[in-house]
Amino acid sequence: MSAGERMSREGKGMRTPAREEVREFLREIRPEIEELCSRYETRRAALIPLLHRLRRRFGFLPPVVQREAAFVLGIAPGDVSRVVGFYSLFREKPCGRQVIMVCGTLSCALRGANKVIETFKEVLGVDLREPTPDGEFSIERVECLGWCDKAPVVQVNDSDYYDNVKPEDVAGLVERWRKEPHE
Amino acid sequence: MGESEKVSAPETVKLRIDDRFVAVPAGTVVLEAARAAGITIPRFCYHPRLKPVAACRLCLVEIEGMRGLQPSCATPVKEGMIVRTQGDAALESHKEVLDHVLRFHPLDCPKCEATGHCELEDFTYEFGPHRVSYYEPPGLSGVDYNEKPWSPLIRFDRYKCVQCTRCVRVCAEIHDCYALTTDYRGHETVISTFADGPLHCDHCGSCVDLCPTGAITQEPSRYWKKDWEYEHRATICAHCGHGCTIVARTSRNRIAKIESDHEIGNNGGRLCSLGRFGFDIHVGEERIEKPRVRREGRLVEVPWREALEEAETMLRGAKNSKMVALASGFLSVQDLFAFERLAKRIGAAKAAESREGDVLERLSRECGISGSTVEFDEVTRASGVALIGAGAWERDYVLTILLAEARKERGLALRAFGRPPYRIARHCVEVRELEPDAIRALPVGTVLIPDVEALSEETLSAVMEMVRGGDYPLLLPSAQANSRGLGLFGFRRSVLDEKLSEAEILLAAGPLHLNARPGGCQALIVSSAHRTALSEEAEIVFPAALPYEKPGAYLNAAHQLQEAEAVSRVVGENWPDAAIWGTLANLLGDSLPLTPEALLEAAREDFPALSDPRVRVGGGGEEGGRLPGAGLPGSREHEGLLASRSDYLRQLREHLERSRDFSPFPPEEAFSC
Amino acid sequence: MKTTVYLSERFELGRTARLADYGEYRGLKRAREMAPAEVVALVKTAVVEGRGGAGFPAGMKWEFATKAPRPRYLVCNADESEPGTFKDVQIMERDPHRLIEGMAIAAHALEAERAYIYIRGEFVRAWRILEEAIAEAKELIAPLEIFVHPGAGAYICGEETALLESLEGKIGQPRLKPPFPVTHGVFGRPTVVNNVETLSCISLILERGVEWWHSLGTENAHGTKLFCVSGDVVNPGVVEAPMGVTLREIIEEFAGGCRPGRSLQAVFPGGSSAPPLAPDEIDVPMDFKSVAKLDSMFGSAGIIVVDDSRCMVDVAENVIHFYAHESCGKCTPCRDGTTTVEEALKAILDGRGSEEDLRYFEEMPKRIFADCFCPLAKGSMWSFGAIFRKWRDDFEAHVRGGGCGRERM
Repeated sequence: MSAGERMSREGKGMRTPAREEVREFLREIRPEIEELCSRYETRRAALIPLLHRLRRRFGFLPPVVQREAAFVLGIAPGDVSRVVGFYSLFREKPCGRQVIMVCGTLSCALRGANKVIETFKEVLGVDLREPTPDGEFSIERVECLGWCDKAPVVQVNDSDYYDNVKPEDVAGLVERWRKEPHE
Repeated sequence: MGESEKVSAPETVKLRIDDRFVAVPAGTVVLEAARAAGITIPRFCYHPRLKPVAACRLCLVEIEGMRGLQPSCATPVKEGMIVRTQGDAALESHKEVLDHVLRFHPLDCPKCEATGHCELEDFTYEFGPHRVSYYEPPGLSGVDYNEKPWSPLIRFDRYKCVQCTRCVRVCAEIHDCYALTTDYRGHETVISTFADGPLHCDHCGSCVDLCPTGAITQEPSRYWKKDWEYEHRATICAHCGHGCTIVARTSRNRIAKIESDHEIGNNGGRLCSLGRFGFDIHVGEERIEKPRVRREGRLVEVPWREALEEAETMLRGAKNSKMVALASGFLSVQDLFAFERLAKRIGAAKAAESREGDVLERLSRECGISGSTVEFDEVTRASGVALIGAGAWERDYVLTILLAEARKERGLALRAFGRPPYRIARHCVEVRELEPDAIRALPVGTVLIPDVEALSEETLSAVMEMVRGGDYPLLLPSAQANSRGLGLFGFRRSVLDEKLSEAEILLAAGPLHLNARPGGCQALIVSSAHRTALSEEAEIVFPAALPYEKPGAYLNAAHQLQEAEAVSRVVGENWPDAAIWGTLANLLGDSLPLTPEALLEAAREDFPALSDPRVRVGGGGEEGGRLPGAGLPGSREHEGLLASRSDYLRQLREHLERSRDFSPFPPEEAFSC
Repeated sequence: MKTTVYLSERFELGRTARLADYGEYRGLKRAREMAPAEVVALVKTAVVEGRGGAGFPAGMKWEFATKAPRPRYLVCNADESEPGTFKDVQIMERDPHRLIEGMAIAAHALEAERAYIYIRGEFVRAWRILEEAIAEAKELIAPLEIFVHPGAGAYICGEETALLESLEGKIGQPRLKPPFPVTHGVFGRPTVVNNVETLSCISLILERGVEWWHSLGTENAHGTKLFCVSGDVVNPGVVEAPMGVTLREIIEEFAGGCRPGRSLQAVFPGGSSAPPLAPDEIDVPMDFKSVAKLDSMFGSAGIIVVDDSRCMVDVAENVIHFYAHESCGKCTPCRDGTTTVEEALKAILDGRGSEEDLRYFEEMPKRIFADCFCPLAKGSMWSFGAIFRKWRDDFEAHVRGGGCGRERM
């Protein structure tokens, strides 16, 4: 993580970056982008890896980010917005700096995921996809995270999975994440 | 039979569809074969202009020997195939798919712009379900399903959308524009502009044409008439030299909207914003409705006879004056022919603002050819194309998208010479500054498309050299509907440059850039549809009909002579230029027949080149003029003489200016109009 | 219950196996001593049914692809997203070299110089581990280059043509077939898409021989297999066993059966798109052919156990919600049909259900199954149709009797 990225944590997820800010970041990671592009026959194929990079930097991907990403790869902004709109991990709307993703699919649901989700909502006092007032967290009910034997499973941003999460663990986890936030 | 013959002869495949036997070319899809046999298979996502995607699942049929139902839009025919479109399985499947769609479709047909030409309406009527099988038909209560304006000219209503994505695909596949896209996924999927913002594109309107329902509609003519009340009148667009076929939808001789029909014309359904929305040029305060002559320093309206007789007197008394007849490239063949005959009779020099005539003359003299040596579809099948001069690509929007499509589909090697950026550059294997040596290095067989209006003498010589060698096909784009005709009838830019300043009498016909009478001019006679700076300085002004208002033939960039129909009523007392100048010529002793057919016939007698099935211009005898270089109008401006009169296009220009941040292209390539 | 430890031999380490733990790539060495066509023939003889869920023999796929011109691509499908399935991630996180060796062997057979691992975007740790392992193995696998390409949260990208679209930077909507990926895959080139476990099995086969592979399993199916068990069992987890072990053995002996006081109600044998089996059907041997005989699917062997405390309408709603949420939106039956079914299930659970819903459930799943574009809606409707048929009492109790009396999940 570059120094610029560390400093930007405050704005991540909530504030729409200025166009110049996006351009500067893209200039900074240009060698990385070109390396990505060299892996494929088309520049467009580097789109999803690039959007992950931008997601980590800005938290969410508003139109200004999409448009600049499009021009770096030489594709139409509409082809970027379509991808952002399609994939669950890309968010167009502001989100918390830490997005708490709770799996709600069958194996997790059978082991109490719905109650875990409800508890997260109560503890943080917000609804799904609604960032907390300080911009630190938002909660999402996501589909199968692929760790069903450890249900219920929770992931925060790009973290390792928290497994066997019980409603009574929630308050403690939130407290811990406030102190040691995930990138 | 030789191998090559096998390849070249299109194979015919025979199959049975229901109770009918049908023979179609190999490669045809079942759905098209059924259509040929007169059998309707419902479909949303299929369109003959697009690649099949088999997404809507409405066209499923039974095919013997194949497990399950098959998408007829994407299944090619096979010899001996047996297709059943009327079996229970297929009919139940049509009902099921329509059922899904109707469950989420507002039933506001009485106020819907698409009523009467809605495919959902038609297919539901024919195939059912006549009662939505599950939930009650929705009113989508609480949902405001009024259209969202994408621009002042195009609207979108997501709730009427059936997700066929024909609009998105025509925009990308054919128009190379990418202004439309989708957002979200699954049931939430919605057709969208980038960031759900304003629609920033050329406004070719193909999305409107291809929408099967009332989801994408155009603003002009909204709530005027139901679709079936309009007449369909195919004609030729006069905005540029491509000569696209357009379908005017009219009511009581007024144009309500322009549509395209991919089955007719050289444009295969492609249009540009000018062709689509630039039809409202006949209205407005600027329109001249009656003849006017200058009396005591002021232009006053007079009857036609008086104006014509005054012109006759003026011309009779000026036998020894220096006279120039300046013609517009927007005039039809008939108009130009009548004007040419008048010019010849009074001994006026024939001038034009376009350089096309001069270039054609040089081509004829130096290369022995008389214009374009290829047609549009041949260009797209070529191995390579070179756009020489930055304006070459943008003079003819439809040609440009044809080239982009050919690049994507068949790998056509495009090269551009001239200062970028321009959008076609994305498709070019080579983009570089315009230098004669670079052009000389082009691979043999490359089709040359030079920007005739703005090339330097040196570049033009290089082009001539290559064409002369015989290895390079040539396509000369035309900026105006009939600038090729101008050349054929001998109107020259060199004459304008040489003689205008000393003209004592100037006859100016049609839309022109010239905006001030020359210093030595004693008499100025103008025909014009609109008031212009020039018309306001004239001695006599004839009110002229616009292209939509008169029948006439136009010679396009590919040397196709195409006849246009009058699709709109004539405003005021306006006459076509052919009538104005023909009458004047007759008053001066000529005997021109004054009907479009007879005039065309007479023109063909005088100019045999017009009779060729593929018309070539014959220059030859006359001494070629020099080719001036400076002070030429920019290309867009050149086309814009008619377009500048359109209020719709004005609104579009303002919209595009406002919405540049939503362009599908980088800022420097954003659309302008 | 007979278990095996081949795919899982290094799982016991309790950490990621590094190259030093894994040792030299013996299978790759053997493969490279053979001509590519011989490797294809060997894998074909072994019969490796695709472990991603479709069960298509890998050797046949390879053979089709090698008939198409080069360049060719190998793509590893690591988009493990079928609910109840978590076996590929175990291989990737615990023994990544098993997969990388398998890919190098496949690439040799296909004469491919580039390969991609399409990994689901949520598997951040596995993504990092793979990149480290690829770097470790760089010399061993050269000239092959392997790149890890992340997805971004879309179940449909597990479908191979949607995966290829996604790999090209587009939305993951399945492609029209034909042409098939083996002739027109990523970037329009011949492409083989194989699952993580499939490729791992192939590295084992090259290492241990076809006879070893054939010695495992039954006459119906060869080899070793990772089975995933989750849901209402005492010990959920992953277990490796030969093909053909019975579902009962896995549930009762490995997973310890249902919790005390509970009994079995339903078992999804191969992820939630596989129609669940009733308690009297669990003696079925776990292989593609045997499970298919019960009108269900072996699939990814993601076994989800549901005990008798659950309302099957509730279970169905959870399952259909998943598929409606993950529908790509390309075809009408899936896009609008799954949502309609989900809405109807919600209405029933809320006490707003009607006889009309039941009539709808009798017909519509079959029709959507017949008309939809790809396996997503087929699987979901197949599975839902079976739930409705086998546990219809639960649905009727909600519609007619005001509920089944069981708590919601």
